[in-house]
Amino acid sequence: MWKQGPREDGGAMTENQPTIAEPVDPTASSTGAPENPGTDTSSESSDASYGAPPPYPPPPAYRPAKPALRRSRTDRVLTGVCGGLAENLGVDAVLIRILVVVGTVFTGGALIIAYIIAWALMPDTPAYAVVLQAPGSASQPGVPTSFAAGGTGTYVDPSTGAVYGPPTPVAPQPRTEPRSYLGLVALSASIVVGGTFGIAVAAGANIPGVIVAGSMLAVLGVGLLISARRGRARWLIFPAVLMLLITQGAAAVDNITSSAGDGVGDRTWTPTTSSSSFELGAGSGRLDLSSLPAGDADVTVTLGLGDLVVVLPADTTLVLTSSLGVGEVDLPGVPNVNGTNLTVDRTLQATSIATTTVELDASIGLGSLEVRRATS
Amino acid sequence: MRRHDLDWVSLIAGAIFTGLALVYIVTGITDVSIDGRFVWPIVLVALGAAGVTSAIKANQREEQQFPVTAGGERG
Repeated sequence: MWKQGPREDGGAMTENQPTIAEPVDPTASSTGAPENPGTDTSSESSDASYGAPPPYPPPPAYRPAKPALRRSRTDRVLTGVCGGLAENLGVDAVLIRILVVVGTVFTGGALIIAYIIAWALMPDTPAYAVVLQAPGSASQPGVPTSFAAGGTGTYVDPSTGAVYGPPTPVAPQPRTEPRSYLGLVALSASIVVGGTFGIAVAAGANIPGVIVAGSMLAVLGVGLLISARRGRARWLIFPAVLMLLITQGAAAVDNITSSAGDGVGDRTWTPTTSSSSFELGAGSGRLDLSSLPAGDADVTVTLGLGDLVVVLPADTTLVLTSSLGVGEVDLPGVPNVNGTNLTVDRTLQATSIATTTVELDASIGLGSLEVRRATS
Repeated sequence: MRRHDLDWVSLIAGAIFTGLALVYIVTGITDVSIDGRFVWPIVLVALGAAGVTSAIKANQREEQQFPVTAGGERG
């Protein structure tokens, strides 16, 4: 009936219908009506049309207003940033917290800065902001609730229409489902597994740490899998993230103990042949490349735990291949790199006319690699 | 424990942690080694996917509770 545009079917109102049916804006049509060179009949038909229901879409179904981005008072672990963000986005706060924790680990702590900024920028939820009435829940949608709640000692947020009142004691919501002990069971079982392995190691068994930590992680993972269908144990993600970190550390330590060479102490290596290899279990190594003959040379250094300093003469080009389990790489003219499972491959050109090219393969379990230009 | 609707966050997180645990146990038993640089990105992708899935499911539930009637019957 209220289709727009000219109609092809006949009828007495055919010529007027487009100008009547089209107006979506009633003011435009009313101002347009006097200009319409129609007869009285046309204006009557126009009035009759306005008496009918206007072609507006019905109001949308009521939805709860989106909460303002404020630090939560009810869902708070540290500062309420994650809880407030979760309330604003309408997702589980646990999920936000997990992403923050994992993101902090992944970004090397940079996310902490963003968290602090959010803490500073996000206003705290006022202490009186106990929502007594959801916006529009008691009155018709679109009717300002400030009229309904005026003069009762309540506060109506003009932006959202939410009605706040003094913090009155509210009876806690009765539990809708029984408390789940699955997470506690899984965490305890994980600890029992770790303790059992610990007893075995103490009794002389040779069990790598990565297997112990990995088994504890597996128990937590299985607990999470079960909680997908039965019980509630989503919070197991927190200890699982922690246990994954421990597992990674254990794997790095195992690599150190398996790959480190013999010996402990401070060493200075001055290779003089075109191919040489050095190993040190733990300590400080200093590799002086100034005595190498002209031409190409291969040098391999394996250091389990400690610092390796490479002294690079001006006439030497260094082709570096390095891997570190945990540590830091400091090269001249390049920002430091640190972290776990580092692999730094780089060619450092000679600063004078190159006479020697050294291909250095350095493996360090836990420690640092520093390349210095020789001062002389 | 009461059976409930499938919790995608728990399912995906449990799968990724169990899988990584098994991989690390294998590296402890055998000489196989893994590149640890991939571990945390994989965890991030998995947890992010779990969050997206959870959000979509929550949205679907909300759509069922508050069906939108706009654009429906017109005279």
